[in-house]
Amino acid sequence: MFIIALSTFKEIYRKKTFHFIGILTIIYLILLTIIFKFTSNNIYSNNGMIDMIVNLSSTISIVGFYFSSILVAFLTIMLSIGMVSSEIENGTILTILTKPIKREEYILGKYLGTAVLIILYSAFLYTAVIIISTVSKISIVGTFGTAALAKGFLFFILQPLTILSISLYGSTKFKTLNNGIVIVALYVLGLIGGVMEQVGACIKNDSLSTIGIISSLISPFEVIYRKMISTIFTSLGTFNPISGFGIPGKPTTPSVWMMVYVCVYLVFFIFMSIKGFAKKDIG
Amino acid sequence: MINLVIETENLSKIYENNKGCRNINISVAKGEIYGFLGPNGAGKSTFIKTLVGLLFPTSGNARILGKPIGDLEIRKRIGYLPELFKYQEWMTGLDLLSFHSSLYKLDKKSSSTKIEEVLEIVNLKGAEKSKIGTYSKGMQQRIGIASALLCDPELLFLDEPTSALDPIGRKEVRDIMLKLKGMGKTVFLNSHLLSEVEMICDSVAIISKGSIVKQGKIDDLLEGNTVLDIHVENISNEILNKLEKIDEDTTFDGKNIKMHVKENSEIHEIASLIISGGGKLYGLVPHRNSLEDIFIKLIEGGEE
Repeated sequence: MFIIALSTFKEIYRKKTFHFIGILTIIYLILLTIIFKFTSNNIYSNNGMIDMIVNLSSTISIVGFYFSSILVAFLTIMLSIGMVSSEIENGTILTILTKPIKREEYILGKYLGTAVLIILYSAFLYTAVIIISTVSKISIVGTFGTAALAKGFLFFILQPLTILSISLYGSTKFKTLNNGIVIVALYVLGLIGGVMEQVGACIKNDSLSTIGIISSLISPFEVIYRKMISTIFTSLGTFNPISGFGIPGKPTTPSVWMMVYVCVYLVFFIFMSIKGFAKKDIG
Repeated sequence: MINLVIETENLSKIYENNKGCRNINISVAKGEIYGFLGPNGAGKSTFIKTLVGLLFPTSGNARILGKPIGDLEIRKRIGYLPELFKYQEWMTGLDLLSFHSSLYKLDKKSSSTKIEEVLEIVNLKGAEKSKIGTYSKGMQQRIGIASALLCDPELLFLDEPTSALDPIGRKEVRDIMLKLKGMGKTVFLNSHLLSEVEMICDSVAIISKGSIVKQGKIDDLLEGNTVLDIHVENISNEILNKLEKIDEDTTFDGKNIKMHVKENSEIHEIASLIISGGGKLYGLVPHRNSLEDIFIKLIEGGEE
């Protein structure tokens, strides 16, 4: 398993997609620095302490963590949609699976190698956002607390790891292009479902909320992001990306049980990948 | 007692479109080069992929080196070079061999010794530090064979190893196969290049539309198909009747007799028959049918 993981890690590290994302990340971080700089200059001219906290929090969460999580999700999708299928398509797998390794070792190795790289990238991005916020003198950063930040990071990496597990499953079932379409569609469904749930909570429309919750059960990626934000901004209560903090309506912070569901979801798709691949004809 | 390295019993792999291979029964003895012949799409690659555990058989059984197919321990003793494959182009030849030796679970010391050894066998010494993306097709095939040899396999499966190569590349790969045979390895060769199979194989099986239509030792297959061109005079009906008992398809145009013999010993018998019967024998030329003649006859016969 570790041989496959190491080889997967090295391969991704040398992929053009990874280099492209690297350049995109640098551009994003430069833009983030500029935005934060302007925000911190203008914010103190605002009226009232609460407004200032809300604006700062929204800026950090939306511009910083939200786009970071999209960037990580994008990288994960790009790197994982062909994890197994591309090796089947180009025949590389033929020389690997005929060696004395079990098929589950191959699948777990693929997951592990990609996951390690994504975790490292996520750690870099997460730290960079916090450092840029601190350097830009956005004072709210100081209120986060190390424990909240650490817990927030766990949710920050849970999202790509969940995408990775379903993408791995799709990669054992479909061709690379088809898998890409399915995973992107699922991700978008999650975003739309999240917004529907939020809007439903805002306008107290239970039907809308229910549809949003069902979408989130199918595609729980956006839920994880909301959990991360509510964990980091724990002192400020529930966060709503549409209207900011402290708005009237039902709280929309995902429950612990939803997170348990996400973990089960993640493990289930890895298990299904192993199970389906064990009896798959390769050739 | 013959030591069999491959034994299959009604092994079938049938796809949803009803293609594949069906009821294949073969036995491959240790140390031979076994040719598995057939036109494109006959089911050769399906059969080899089933033997190496990439495809799951629909029915039947097979044993490789005495164990059922798919056995992990057996995979430490077999090598496989697929027909259509691509190695990681970003790797150097050395990276690839190191990666595959880890897949074979070789320890570091025996891995580096083995890598040196296989590079020598496939004649790629000096090119191992170049990236695979820069290799020619022939070099890619040879590095593929090298990676299949890392475990010092007792049995090597080669699926169309020369079909994409130029004549020089083909000869290089052919020489490697003969070298391996000299080392006591068994080679299972999938090919549609008949001249190549005729040159190097000990036994063959010919497959058409998923089923075996002929198999056996190559010398036996070719010997049973020797054609005699006999230039004669004074041939009586009595002589012709006797010749027709040997081959009922014997033809005579007044000066030349054309007939098939199954064994070389029959040639002497035919010459004696003609001379003792009063005929005049001016010439007798045996033509050995090539594998291509047999193959085309079988495939066309099958299609009829």
